[in-house]
Amino acid sequence: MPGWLIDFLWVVVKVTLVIAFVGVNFIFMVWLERKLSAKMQARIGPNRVGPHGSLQLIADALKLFSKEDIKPAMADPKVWALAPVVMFAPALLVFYVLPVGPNAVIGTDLNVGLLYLAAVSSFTLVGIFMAGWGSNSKYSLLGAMRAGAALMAYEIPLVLSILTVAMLAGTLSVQGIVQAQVDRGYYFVFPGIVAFIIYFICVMAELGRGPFDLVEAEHELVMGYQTEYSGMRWGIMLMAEYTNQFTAAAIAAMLFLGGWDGPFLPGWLWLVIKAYALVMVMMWVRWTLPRVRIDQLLDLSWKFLLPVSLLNLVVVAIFLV
Amino acid sequence: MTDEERKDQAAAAAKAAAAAKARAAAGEGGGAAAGGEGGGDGGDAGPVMPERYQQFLDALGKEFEGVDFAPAYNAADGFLYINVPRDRLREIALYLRDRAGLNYLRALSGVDWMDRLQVVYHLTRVEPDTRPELLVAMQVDVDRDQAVCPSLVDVWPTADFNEREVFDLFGIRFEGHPNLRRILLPDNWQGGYPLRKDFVDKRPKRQRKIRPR
Amino acid sequence: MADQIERSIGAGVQVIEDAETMEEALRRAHLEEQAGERRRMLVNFGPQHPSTHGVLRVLLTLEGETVIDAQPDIGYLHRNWEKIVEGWTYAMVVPFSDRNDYLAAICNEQAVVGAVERLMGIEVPERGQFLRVLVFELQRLTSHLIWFGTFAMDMGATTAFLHAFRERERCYSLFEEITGARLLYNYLRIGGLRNDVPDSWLKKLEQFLDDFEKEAYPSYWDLVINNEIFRVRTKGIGVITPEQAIAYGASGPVLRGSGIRWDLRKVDPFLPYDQFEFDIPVGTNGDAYDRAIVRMKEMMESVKIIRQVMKRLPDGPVMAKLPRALRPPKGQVYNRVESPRGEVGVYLISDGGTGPYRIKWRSPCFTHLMLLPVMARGHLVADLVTCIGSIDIVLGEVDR
Repeated sequence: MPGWLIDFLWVVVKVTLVIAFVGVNFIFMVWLERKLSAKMQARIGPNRVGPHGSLQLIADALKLFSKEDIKPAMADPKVWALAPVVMFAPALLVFYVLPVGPNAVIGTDLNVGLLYLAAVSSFTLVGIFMAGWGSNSKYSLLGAMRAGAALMAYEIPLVLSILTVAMLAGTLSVQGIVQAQVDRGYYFVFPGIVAFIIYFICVMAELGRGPFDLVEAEHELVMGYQTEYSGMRWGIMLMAEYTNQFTAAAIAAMLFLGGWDGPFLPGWLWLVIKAYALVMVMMWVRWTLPRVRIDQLLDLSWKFLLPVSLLNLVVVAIFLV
Repeated sequence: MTDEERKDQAAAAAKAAAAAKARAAAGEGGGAAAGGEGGGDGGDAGPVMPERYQQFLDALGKEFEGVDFAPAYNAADGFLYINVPRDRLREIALYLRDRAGLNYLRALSGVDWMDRLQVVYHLTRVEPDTRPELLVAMQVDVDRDQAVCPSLVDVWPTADFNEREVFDLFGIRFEGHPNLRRILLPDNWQGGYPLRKDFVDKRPKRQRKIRPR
Repeated sequence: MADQIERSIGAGVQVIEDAETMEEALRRAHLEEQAGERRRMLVNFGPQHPSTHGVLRVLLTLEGETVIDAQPDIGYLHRNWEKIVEGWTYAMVVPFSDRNDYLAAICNEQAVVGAVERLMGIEVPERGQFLRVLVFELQRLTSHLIWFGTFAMDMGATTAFLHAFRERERCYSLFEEITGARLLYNYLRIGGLRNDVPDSWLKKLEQFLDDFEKEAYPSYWDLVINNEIFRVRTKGIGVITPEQAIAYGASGPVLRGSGIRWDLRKVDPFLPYDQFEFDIPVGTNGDAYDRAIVRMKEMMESVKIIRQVMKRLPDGPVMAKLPRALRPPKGQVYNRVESPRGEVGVYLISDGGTGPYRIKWRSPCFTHLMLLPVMARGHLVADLVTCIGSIDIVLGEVDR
């Protein structure tokens, strides 16, 4: 077999694995969220399909697939139809640089992996904006505008907090950062606790989770940019959202909690466990707190997180020197 | 005397006794319900009217001489019903608000008395922690065919929606209302004024299907 | 004053019957917007919208996300209650009045029943009156619980909603035991109550009150009211000055939130409320936060009143002796009660027959909706939702 064919097959296998994981992860996370929220709200949650309702999402997906594909009459057809795909793509691309064990990265161990992550994860906005604009609905547009404002505001403190980690590790490669934590024997969450908290808040704001879910804000904007979507198109959007949430948690686990590092279990499992722990914190916050207002969201970033992250960067730099 | 008649009698006696007891409890003898048909036919309110109402009426009569207010004190709800001529409604309303201190429009109702329409304004004074001393209801007669009444939106802003409602359901036009539009009925409603007594629902009746058992 | 009116009505349309309908106004504004004559956006908020608490439609004029104008458009639930009950017997009016404010059915019943009783001079036996106070306050509790849940939901705190509904569910089970119904009770009769309550029921009620006071109620404060996000979301939002509140006929918690201690239970007593001790909580700033606090504190006052009623519940019949056919004398009466939402008034005119000649329903929510443009102007869309939630409207009563 020629070398290029082997490479190609490897790519196919990896992509298939990643997509399979994303699918399973989606099912599991939705189930987890529904069960967790039910526990918090003194409810039972899904319990009809499968044991403890674990197959509920498969039933839901079947329903979504069988639904009519309704397109708003005034929508921009191409932009509108493409938006869910554009939203879903960056969620998959993040997996490219995820290290799942020593010397094992899903794609390539880019030496600018951190920059790649920051660039790709903010790409979701394009999809959101396409959905908001293409639907030709005022609620969708308002939701998309909110998403734009929020992303603009939170990307800067987010990158600054990531930068702290890069300074601690002395490298931009994601694998290198994890390796640095393993080598030194401590996780960066301890020296970089401020950066960790800022990163976590920023990620929740960018994902539109928890108290920052203004982008869809059901009680204000109906469903925000998702208002005009139904059926499996909406399902893909939901999938992108949950995958983004997982990847964000996985990145946090790698940068601050040592990624695949851990005893006994294989590396990838440790990564998943750490990521899920963070995801559950996100869910906990989401189902507890009321939603902030758009101006308060922006105030939090520009007036508080940005100065604090800058200061944190300076302090870390001084300590390192 | 049949059994039923006897029962009726006993019940009527019980009712009278209960009514008398209620009056006694309120410390106000006389008719439990005054006003008659809209209070329009004379002030036979009986001797129950509290002193402060008399003072209010005296002051009102001095201010607007020649107006027959036909006051009727209603012991059942404590309101003093006065008749107000339509052409002086605005000045009297302003007087009630600014001089008599009735700053709160409780309810604005339309009534159809077959021969005329009427708008009733229930007024009171809202002041923290104070029992309202005066409860006054203005009754304004409006012609049925020329159903026009001055608007009081600038006196009590509460009148805004309420006047729109009366306009919608009784067809009384409130002159000077800045936004007199339908509020409850559909915008394209053509069926007349539902709360007037001569209203006939002209919409096609839905056939009720009764399945034989 | 004129300035206020100008603000509340905005650029009104002058014509009367051939007035531009809401739809035409919408189309015109849309065309103007298309032509680029103004940067404002016209948004149809409702009638199908998650947080309009029913079928309320608000016509929003937005500049970006700032509300320039908010005009409520109502009538989607209109069924002309007032016309339908004309000519019915009084006993038939009572259950239908439940449907007006379906979250506080007992209060509606008291408004109708009280009007007939005032007109006929019927004296309800003492036990009947005390039990009426009891169910009245229990109803206020359930109504405020629903308000709490939906208001928290408007803020995005979904969990509080279910926690509130859990307690409300227990209340409804209690109601079900004595009335046979969970929402629309038809429990009050002219002259008393449909039936007495057993002692075992009172024990269950006692148990519920204990649980509510010890566990659920403090958790509401911790979960929502004392939350920092909730505070910044509600403080300074939807301010109603005391002058505005009086001028626009606000009542109930909306009026008291603006700092005016005016509660019909105290200033215009209708049931034996003067025999019980309770406070009237008031706010200071008249914003959404103050209205929320007033309602939260009122819950506890209701519990206080219920406890006093249970302690002093006299024996005896619950129903007065009445003639078989109720024929109130000719006359008119304006009966008003303090429902959880404000002053519910029934203006009843009797022509001496067995049914009303005319009934006017004075609805607090209908009146409060006039304040919506005053409250929302200049705030953001999210605050509009807060404003709607903070006046606690029930569309069944707005449209009647």
